[in-house]
This record gives sequence, C-alpha cells and structure tokens, in this order.
Amino acid sequence: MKTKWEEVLSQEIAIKYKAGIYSLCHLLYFALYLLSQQKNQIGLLQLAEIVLLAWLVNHLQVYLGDNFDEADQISGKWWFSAIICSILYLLAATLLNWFEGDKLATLGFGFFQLFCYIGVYINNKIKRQIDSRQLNQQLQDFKKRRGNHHD
Amino acid sequence: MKLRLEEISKGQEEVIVRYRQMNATIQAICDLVQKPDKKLLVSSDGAQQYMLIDDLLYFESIDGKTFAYTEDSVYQVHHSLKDLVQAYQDRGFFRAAKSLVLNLYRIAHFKSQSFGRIEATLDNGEKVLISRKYAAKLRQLLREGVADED
Repeated sequence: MKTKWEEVLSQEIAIKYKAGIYSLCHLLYFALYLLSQQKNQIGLLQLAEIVLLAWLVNHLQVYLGDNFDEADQISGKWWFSAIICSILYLLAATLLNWFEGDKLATLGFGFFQLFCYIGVYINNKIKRQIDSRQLNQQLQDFKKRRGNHHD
Repeated sequence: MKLRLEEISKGQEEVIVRYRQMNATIQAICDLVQKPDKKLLVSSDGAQQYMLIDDLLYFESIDGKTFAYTEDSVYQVHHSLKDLVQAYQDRGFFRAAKSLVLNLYRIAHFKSQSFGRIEATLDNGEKVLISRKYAAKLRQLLREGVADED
C-alpha cells in the first residue's frame, strides 16, 4: 500500500509530466513569436521561466482546479478553472516581458493556453476511450483463462 | 433432464453425469461436485444457507459487518473482507476499495475514468468506482493474472 509520502511523490511526478507537456506548448508558441520577429535564438533564462511557470501553475491546476484537463466533461467549473489558469499565464508572461510589450502576442498567448487546455482535455478523453477498450479486452481474456482452466 | 438417485449401503459415493454436449448447467453440476468448498455460508433474516461463490457479485463491509451481494439479494457473511479475498482470490475476487471486494467474473464491463480511476459495471447494472490506488492493482491483475499484496 502506498504511504502518504509515496502518494505525494506520485502526484508530483504526474505534475512534472503535465508541466512538461504545457512547457512544450509554450515553447512552440514562443518559438513562433520569435521567428515572426526574425529571431532564431531563445535565452536559457526564458527557457527556465517557461518550465518553472508551467510547473507552478500546474500545481494550482491539480490541487485547486481539480485537475480539470483530465475531467470527464467540460462544465462551467471547467471553463472557470481554465480561464483563471490562462489569465495567470498571461499575467506571468506580461510581468516577465516574454513578448516585449507586444499586446497582441501576449493576448494570443492567453488564448493559445485555453486552446491547449481544450486540446489536452480531448487528448485525455481519447486516451480513456482507448484504455476502456483495452481494459475490457483484458477482462474478457481474464474470464477466458478461467474457462480454459476448467476445460 | 432426468434425475436418477440411487442409495448405496457401502462403497464410495459417486456422481455420474451422462451428457450429450457440455453446457452451462452440466458445467455447474460438475463445479458443484468437484469444488464443494466454493460455497459460502451466508445468513439472511436469521436463516442460514450456502451460496455458490460464483453467484456473488461483491462483498461490502458496512459498520464492521460484511455483506454479500447477488444480482438481487443481500446476505450477511461472518468473515472479514481480508479473509474473503485470501480465500477466494482464485475465484476472481479482488479488493476494489477499502470496504469493497469485487468478483471480476461478474463484471460486465469497465470504463476508464479521469485521474486513473476505473468504473466497473456489474452484471446487475450496478456501477462501482475503483480508485486510482486499487485500479493500478486491478490493471496488474488483468495483465499478469496476479496482483501484489498490500
């Protein structure tokens, strides 16, 4: 049985995976922004900011927002949590000056984040459908194994 | 199906089943004869009776008492969930929550839920939610045929 410590550790690992996904999304957006500005380099500090911010917001998302991107369906609470987290990203990006005062790019980042949440939600839903199919196949195989024992 | 009983005064008791084709009823008779220990003493309204283990959908512990559920009835059992899992895990009984032991052979289908949980729909249509902790053990059991002990 898992100890409390192991449960926290397991949750932390899940958050880190999640943070990895969102960091990659942010990096993609940031890279597209930089390319649009005729730049093809990103600073290590900005890279660290992207990862750290995703890690922090994901803690809020998991512990306060009921891990909404893994929810069964999109509800009013889902939209509320997703919009709040997107605003947090947007504010952080403004404070850290990621887009050098470009309001359109900053606002676009907020909408992009919302789009990412919907994308991750759909992805998780498809993943669960596949998982259900696999579980039911394994259940049938499990039942058949017993039938074979009896033969 | 014709039933013929013959009383004997000495020698070993035996059951001979003459069948044209193996079916569920014949198989149930075979199971009953070959595995007499797979019945459980249960009680309901003061009366006691033996139930075939395979007829039970799940065991549940409520306020220190253990209950066995069939498709349409509930009986009290005088064993702990821990003892029941140990005794009947080879019959597909699996701990699905702290207070619940499910019969995997009486699960109609699964539905994967968010946060790693699994919803199990039983043969009688009842739905049970298995937490992530127990779902991990269930996945292992389905995959490998055995699950790690707690």
